[in-house]
Amino acid sequence: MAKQTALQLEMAELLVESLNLEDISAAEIDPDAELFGDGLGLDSIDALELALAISQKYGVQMQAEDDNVRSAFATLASLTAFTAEHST
Amino acid sequence: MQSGSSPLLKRQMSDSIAMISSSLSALDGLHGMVTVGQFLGHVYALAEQLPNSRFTINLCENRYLFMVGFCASLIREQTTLLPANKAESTMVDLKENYATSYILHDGHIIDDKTALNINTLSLSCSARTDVPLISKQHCAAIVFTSGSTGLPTAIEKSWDVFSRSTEINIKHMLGDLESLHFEVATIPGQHMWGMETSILIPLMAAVCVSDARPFFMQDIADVLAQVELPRILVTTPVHLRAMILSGLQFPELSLVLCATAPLATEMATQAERLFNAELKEVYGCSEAGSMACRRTAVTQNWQLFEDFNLMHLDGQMVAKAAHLSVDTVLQDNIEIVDKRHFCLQGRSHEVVKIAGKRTSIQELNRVLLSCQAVLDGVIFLPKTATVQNALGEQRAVAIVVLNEHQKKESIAVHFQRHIDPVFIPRTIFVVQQLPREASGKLRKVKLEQLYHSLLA
Repeated sequence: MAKQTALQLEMAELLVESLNLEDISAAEIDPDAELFGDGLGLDSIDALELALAISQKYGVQMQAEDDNVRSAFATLASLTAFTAEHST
Repeated sequence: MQSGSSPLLKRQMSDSIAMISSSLSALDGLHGMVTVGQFLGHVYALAEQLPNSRFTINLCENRYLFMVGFCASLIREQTTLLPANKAESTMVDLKENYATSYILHDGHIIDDKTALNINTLSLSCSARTDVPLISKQHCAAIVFTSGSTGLPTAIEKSWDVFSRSTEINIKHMLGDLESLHFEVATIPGQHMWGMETSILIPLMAAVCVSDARPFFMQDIADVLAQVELPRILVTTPVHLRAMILSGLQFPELSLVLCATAPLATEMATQAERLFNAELKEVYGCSEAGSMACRRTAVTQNWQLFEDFNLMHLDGQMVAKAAHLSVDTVLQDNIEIVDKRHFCLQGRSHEVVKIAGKRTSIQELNRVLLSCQAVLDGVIFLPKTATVQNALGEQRAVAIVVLNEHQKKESIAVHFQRHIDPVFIPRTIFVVQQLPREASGKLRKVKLEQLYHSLLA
């Protein structure tokens, strides 16, 4: 597993907290592992939940029509990068 | 069962029935409002190109294409299958049980050579005004849902049931619409709530539905802003909550319809304020369709649709209606207030309902124990509120004993193959053994204690 950056750890903490991931800690989330599907096995409600948490914390709105969002949600690393890029 | 036939739609030909917001190659890039006449043209054009088959698995994600596909299947006397999810094993089971079926999609599925991609066809043609008649007895759709026993149940919906229940729904959900209304729905047409409100209602009432299926809060705000006034939003408690908590501004609506899970009074009040519109919450189930509604911001009591009656039968609550050939046993604990009103006292505890989808604890446990990595295990809904997230959906928890040399990751993979992602236990704890009694029974109290010790 690649080492998490400080921003990635912060995003991982938001993930664990907003999705109540009880059996994994923020530091254990691999920045490059898939969040949905095989990796953490997140689903559409989680995506909505996460979008809400991100909008509240970073003021960034997720939009599904935007192809970037599908790729943004791919991994912890991409989610962190997307949010950093779009936050004001 | 009714004999004879009834029309596919009851609309003025020049009225708009749908609004296309995406670029669809099947429609040659047609954009904006689609009239009833144009829609009929598309339906006839697709009907001619469908393969000979008895069953259509319609997985189109674009709402308009789904609607055209559903209606074209009706003309060809095919039955649309509405599976509860798109899991690999669901598709395999469907194709096994319904040998003469094919998948109709709009480009989101690739690994099935027999599937028909509607976007590889051309539906552009001139408008038609001849409304097809559909046999009332024809099985228009089969809805799959998990029964109380946990085994999937196939519920057949005849065209007569669909058209009569739609008339009832229009009367109670919308009332008399004096002008054309514009609808945006956040649920797919494949779900019963989406089928009733975003596919069938536009066929029978002055409603123009958006082809979009907005998902994130900003998407919903954008799509609503694209459609004209007066606007109707059809949604679920999860989406409502996300919209309220987002802090975003939403365009003014004239009506919000919400269903699939109970809505808290406070949320209903906040939603009415946010949209400056009345919010009607609708109660129903896949078996009987919508059957009651309430203005949740002002009352807890549900008002039964005129055409329905509730009664106790053999210790169960049963819904009856003239247009339904069989009575429906309701899965919720219902307290009758008076002849036309009732209260919901929570769901029978063995039923799990997440994101408008229903399964049972037994079914989840059956799937868990069919996993080779699992020696023993249990899935349950903890009483504590900790597993409820901001959107208010409760998630199941699994506690398992693994077979030797097995990893818990293989359980997740097993689940993904067999059940809808929303039911996959959010947390899987691995323990040495479960606190079973000598008889093998697992008491809920013991389970809660174990769960809390694992959280600590």
